[in-house]
Amino acid sequence: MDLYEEVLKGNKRSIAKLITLVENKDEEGFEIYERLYKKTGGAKRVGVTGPPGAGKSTLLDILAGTYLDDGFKAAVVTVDPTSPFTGGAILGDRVRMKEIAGRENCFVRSMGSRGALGGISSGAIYAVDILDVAGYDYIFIETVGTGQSEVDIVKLSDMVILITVPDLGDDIQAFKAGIMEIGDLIVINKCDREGALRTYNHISSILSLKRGEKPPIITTDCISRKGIEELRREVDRLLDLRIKSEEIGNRRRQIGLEELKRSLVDIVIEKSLKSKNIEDVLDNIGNKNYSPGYGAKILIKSLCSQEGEYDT
Amino acid sequence: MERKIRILVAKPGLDGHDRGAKVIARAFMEAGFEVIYTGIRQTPEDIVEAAVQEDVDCIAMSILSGAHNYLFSRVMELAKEKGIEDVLVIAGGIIPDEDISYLKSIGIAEIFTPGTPTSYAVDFVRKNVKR
Repeated sequence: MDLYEEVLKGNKRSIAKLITLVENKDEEGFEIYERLYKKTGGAKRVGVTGPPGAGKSTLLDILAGTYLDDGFKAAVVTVDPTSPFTGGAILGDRVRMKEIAGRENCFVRSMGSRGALGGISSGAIYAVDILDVAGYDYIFIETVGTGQSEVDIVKLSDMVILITVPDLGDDIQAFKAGIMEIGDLIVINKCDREGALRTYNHISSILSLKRGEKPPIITTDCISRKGIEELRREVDRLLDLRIKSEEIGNRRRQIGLEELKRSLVDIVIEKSLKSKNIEDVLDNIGNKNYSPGYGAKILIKSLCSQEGEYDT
Repeated sequence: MERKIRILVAKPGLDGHDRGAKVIARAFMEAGFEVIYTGIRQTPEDIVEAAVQEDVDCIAMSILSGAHNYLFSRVMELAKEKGIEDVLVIAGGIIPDEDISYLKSIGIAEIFTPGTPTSYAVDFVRKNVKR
């Protein structure tokens, strides 16, 4: 089976296989990914983030469904936490995606965070690129349930939806830096619950002090489907705005920079840990001859002298 | 890098009692597997489609309703149709002894009935996944 051709044709089994290969950092998989990468850029990428239990998967089930209804191809890449102790994971987002999971023009892939701390794994990013070239028009990326600082998603998508729920904390929580700043669109889900109006007021008063464009706030309820039409309208409007504006070039360049940084860290760590000096450096750190920071510089130096192309 | 075992845990059919499925899912997680948990009331079509998209190494089905002969054979049929017959398929739940030989004949690799230690199922998967 030629994975390259089959992925371009949109063969689901091949897409799934290639995602597994690159997620496991398989060399052959990366070769195919590299060839496919040139063809990325057709899909609109929407990040979805928010605290655990806010309703991210449920809301996506409905929102992605509206795009399928309109004849688009839609995919969801969803990340759940990997256990730092066993390496295992329970990937449970499919439970909430019963409406879309089996539909012809839909693809849902669940992934473990595998040690990534920013709410999204590097495997997830490859998956999005692969789905892009496979012809999906809209790709939704759902992060792990986030707390306050998992903001990586903003660097990887064309727009970010931040989903929250009524009365998670007082106005001081909405006041803090971090996750509250990254939403291009803020959704208060489960708005049938008490405190929804209070939360709306807190968030809108904090945002009124924000510089630049202020994100719209939408209240939704997935049971009665209240607010879904408005949500869809706003997502379309914001994507349209983004893609037409000068900003999209900058944003995509920013995404390139972030990916480059991530790959650099991966490569440098991998190569450094293989260095023959590593035991020696660890001994010196243990004996307090120098600090870990100094040890890192020594390793980088030895890397540079080992291989001509790593010129200082 | 070590390849992680990905396993789908699903409950086909209409019985809504998922305690066993959750226990075994948790045991697989503790063993370091990535468990795609799809929950209750799954059709054979749902299960096979999820197995394709998630590229799992193993499908584990739990059933208590008695409809195992019909539902499992439909899953095996669809798996063949979709070209994932290399995926290991195992099952557990309330399954009478006299049905086990039939289920094995259609390709279910092993049936785990009540009282099986979870470690036994974990070891079985580790030893028998084909990829």
